[in-house]
Amino acid sequence: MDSDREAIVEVFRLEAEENLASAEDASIALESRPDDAELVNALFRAVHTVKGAADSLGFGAIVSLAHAVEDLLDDLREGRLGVDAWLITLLLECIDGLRAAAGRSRTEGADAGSALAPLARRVQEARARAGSRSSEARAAGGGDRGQLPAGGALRRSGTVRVQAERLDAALRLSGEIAVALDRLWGLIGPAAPQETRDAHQDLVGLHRDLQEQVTSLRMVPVGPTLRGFVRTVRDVSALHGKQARLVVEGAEITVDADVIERLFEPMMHLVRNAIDHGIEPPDERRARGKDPCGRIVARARRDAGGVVLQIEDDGAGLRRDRLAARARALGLVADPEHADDEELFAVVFSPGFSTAERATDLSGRGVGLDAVKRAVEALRGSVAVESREGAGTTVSLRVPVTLALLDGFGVGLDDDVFVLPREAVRACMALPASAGGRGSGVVPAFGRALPFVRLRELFGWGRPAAAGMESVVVLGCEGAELGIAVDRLHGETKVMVAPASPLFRGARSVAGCSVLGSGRVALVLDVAGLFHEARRAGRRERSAPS
Amino acid sequence: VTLVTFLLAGEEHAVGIDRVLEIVACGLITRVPAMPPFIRGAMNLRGRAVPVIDLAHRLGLGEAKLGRFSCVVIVRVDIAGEPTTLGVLVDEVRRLVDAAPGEVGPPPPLGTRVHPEYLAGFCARGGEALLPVLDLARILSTEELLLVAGAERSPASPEGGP
Repeated sequence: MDSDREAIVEVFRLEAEENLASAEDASIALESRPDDAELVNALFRAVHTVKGAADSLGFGAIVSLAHAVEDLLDDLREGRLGVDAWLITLLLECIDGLRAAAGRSRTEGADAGSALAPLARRVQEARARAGSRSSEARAAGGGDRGQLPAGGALRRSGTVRVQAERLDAALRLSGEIAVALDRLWGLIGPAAPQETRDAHQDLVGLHRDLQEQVTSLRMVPVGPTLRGFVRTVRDVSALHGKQARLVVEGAEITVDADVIERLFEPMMHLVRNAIDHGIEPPDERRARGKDPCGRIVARARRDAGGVVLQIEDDGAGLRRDRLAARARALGLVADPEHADDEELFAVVFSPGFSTAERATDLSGRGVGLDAVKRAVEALRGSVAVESREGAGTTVSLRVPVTLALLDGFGVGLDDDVFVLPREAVRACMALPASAGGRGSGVVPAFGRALPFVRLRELFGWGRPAAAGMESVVVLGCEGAELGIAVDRLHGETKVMVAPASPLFRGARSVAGCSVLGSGRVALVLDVAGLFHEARRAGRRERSAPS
Repeated sequence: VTLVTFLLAGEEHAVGIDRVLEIVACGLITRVPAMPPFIRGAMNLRGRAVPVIDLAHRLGLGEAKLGRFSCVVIVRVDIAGEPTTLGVLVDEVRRLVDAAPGEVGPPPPLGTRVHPEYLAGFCARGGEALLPVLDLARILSTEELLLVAGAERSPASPEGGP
């Protein structure tokens, strides 16, 4: 295939993906609003656009199936066919088939759609059963655009597709400009004429704006991804004879495009699990006084500079007794009957647990949750489960801020600078000399005793600081508060956070790296990670003989 | 083959130039918690934070001391499938050596200061001392780096580090 054609096929693939996604949305919406003619029109436009493009590239099988779907939609529009779950499922299968064929079109060309014939046949059979006749009048091809119902399909949306690597390259260049500007300043110096300095200052300001713009390009709202689970909820609940609907909260929260891509599969898995193991069958729910239709919430929110994604269900919840028995059998928890919820529920993420679960077909969660945990940890995040028996389960995936312009708060240890997310900092104070030069302890804050740890000791670094010279930053995360003692407070600062090198993956409390105006590298700390390390250190201290 | 030579713990060592992206003066290095001692921290390479590895320490030749000739050799390796830029701290960069293919031989199994596993060979040129050629890919092989990083990740003692 020559490169021109390859480029055209790639455009076809991307456009088909977009159109089929809106066709999918329309199909699902149609199920609850069967009389909404505009939904059928939207479906028709989307499928028709794909058909036209496929025809111009000679992808015959895609054209045939799209044509068959158009016929089916025509029958719907004319009232020859009614909307039911079976029909929606068929539509969705066709959309999946078209999507798969379009995806393979780049490598397989015209052969990509060879598997679509059986689907097209099923569509024709469905129509034949409903007694409709085939509309041969609408031949394949783009000639009938004039008959299209008016609508948005032909309107330009004003968006441009850009490959992620090109965004990264722009971001990198922008970073290099910052360094070049610093070098230029070194050459000009403060002794330069006012005009020269003003011109340099303008450049610095413009560059900062540019950098903010470039950074924000990588951030995408989570809404479309979360709403995509509507389909999962529909399919999986139908499969299990259950009823459930999806509610999306926090659709406007933006995250790095890479993060949402990498969390898509894990979240999908959690949604499946919520229906499979969480939501009870309708009769059982009715017997318990619940709405027979289960409720699954896909939620995003910001916390302490990071993003928390949650999948919540109002199903049966985790059963402590069964979990404890399983944990004991596998030796995962020392004293499962007396473990707290956090410790006990955490076992569902251990690899051994899943296998055992599958083998004995116990009701509850578990299959493949270790994979979810691994995916989140690869992003330097953490997972947590909350559950109440009979009331439901919430799984939270927490990921630290990755690539973004961060409103930060700088603190210092020796000559090193660390940046904390500004929104996690609750207060700052001098560490009283009575706190001594080492060890953790408590300081009075907000009218109570607030525990603090020394960052230096948490990191396992060197000599104690001179007593009375340290400061405490009070951090808040997930409703808990903790003081962190440091040598110096540098105050508020805006930094560009870049992902830390994979080599630094073992550093749980590091969310990313940033290069300061001084040219020094500063580590951006993850507050949830710091809390985790502090709790671990606390446990070690208590258990160590002193 | 062209070799870049540098000093490590007072002795000249070499690596193939094909691995080397650039050589920069050693700037400020920021410490990173929970890392093994041979990972010195991160430095700024044109706006990016790059991990710096103390090569002498990694090879068991003792911790490098920063001096006025200290340099960082920038290389690219794969870490868990991701191509990653790393800096390798050396005491001083010396020279380029154009070695004829016959001049580089396999490492002897015994009697080398650096573990033979980390040697690509020796460069023997008339009238010069034997020049050990390091196998950077092997030394920075990242399963190994990450493995060591995990194993040496000691819990923070109340007294702080060493």
